[in-house]
Amino acid sequence: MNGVRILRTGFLLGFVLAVFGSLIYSRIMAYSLAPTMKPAHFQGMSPWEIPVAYIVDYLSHGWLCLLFAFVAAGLVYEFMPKEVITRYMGSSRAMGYALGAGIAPFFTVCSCTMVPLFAGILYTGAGIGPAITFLLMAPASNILTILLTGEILSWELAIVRVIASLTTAVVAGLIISRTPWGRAIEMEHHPTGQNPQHNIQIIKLPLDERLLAALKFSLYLAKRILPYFFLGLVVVSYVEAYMAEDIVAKYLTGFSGILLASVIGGPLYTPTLVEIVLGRGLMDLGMSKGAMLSWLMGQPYDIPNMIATSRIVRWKVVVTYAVIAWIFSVSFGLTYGLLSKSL
Amino acid sequence: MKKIVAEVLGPNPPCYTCILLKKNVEAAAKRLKADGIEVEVKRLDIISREAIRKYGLLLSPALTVNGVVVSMGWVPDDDVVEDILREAASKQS
Repeated sequence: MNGVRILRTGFLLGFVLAVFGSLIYSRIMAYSLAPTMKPAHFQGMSPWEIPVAYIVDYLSHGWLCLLFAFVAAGLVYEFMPKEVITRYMGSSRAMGYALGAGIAPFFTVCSCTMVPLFAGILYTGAGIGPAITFLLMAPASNILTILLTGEILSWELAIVRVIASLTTAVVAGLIISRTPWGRAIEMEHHPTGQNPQHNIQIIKLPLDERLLAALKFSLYLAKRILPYFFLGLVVVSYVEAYMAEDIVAKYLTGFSGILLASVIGGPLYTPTLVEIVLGRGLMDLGMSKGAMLSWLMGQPYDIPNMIATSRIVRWKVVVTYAVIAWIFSVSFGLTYGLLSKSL
Repeated sequence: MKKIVAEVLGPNPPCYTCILLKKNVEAAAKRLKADGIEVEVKRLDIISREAIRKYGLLLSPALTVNGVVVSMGWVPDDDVVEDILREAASKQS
């Protein structure tokens, strides 16, 4: 029994190290993992050939990146000390902001964790500010999104995106916790009496079981996300093939481009990373970097998310955070566009 | 006959992982019944006041056995659940 366990641990660790190692190797060899097809390549292809060619091209470069992203997401989720988050999240306001913005988003790759955690933060007494911060931060900075934004778009954009979302999330949290309607909800959920001693004794499994659980979670994520991801790739291939470059150049650049990108980025968002692939396609066609950032930051006010949270905090709060998120997405897009000279 | 209460906590409507966890717990409960241990499997909304008051902030899906949170944020196999439940039963005697 013990021998089997050691063997299994070794095998799983080997697999994880192989995935990480080959990604680092590809970095050292400067081997591009992003799709390389440009719109010009699609000329002369029949309509059914376009998505096939694009997906084949994408997978021949991107399989390693996808594999790495899912394995890393599974590992982070499994080995993150979850008790720490849940124990300290509700303890004080400052701690709530720090955890809500810094750590919790890393393991909310699954949207069904997000809304309960949002409600939990609110109900356990950390207040509405940290809850909103967490909610706005989560879609922009989970481990899958960061890795794929970095690999498919650019690492510069990935970093800017995290910083921009962080600022937006914290400011929105601070503002909402000061509005009368935000306070009303906080009062409603104010914990009565002292915090009861919660009975939590998480069982710890041996390392091989935990590694296996991590990889199982990776598989679960892949099964949930990849079908939409590939559907997204099909759409992107047609966008790249048929969208005229002058339309993108005309509408998705400059200040109006940022406005448009920030407005369509939100409703289009699905927690399936499609926005990253679609962004890549639009950028190849000439979308400006500033508009791209606004496009990526449009996510926090996506519709399903808003409906779910409105059941907990009512519409006024939802509309407030959506407006704040939108203003920030436009101003960050503008600033980034000006700074990177790509407006 | 020993009696254990197991609660599966998740959002309402249940997400995929919570349904899976409940299935695993029910499978384990069935096997324990043959050994004379009765397991009552309940479902609790993770964002209800009741759940928050009892357990505080949890990650979904969570599993509690006799009022003690034993797992959260992942789905243990039915074998793992079975071990947990057996241990709880042996402590009771």
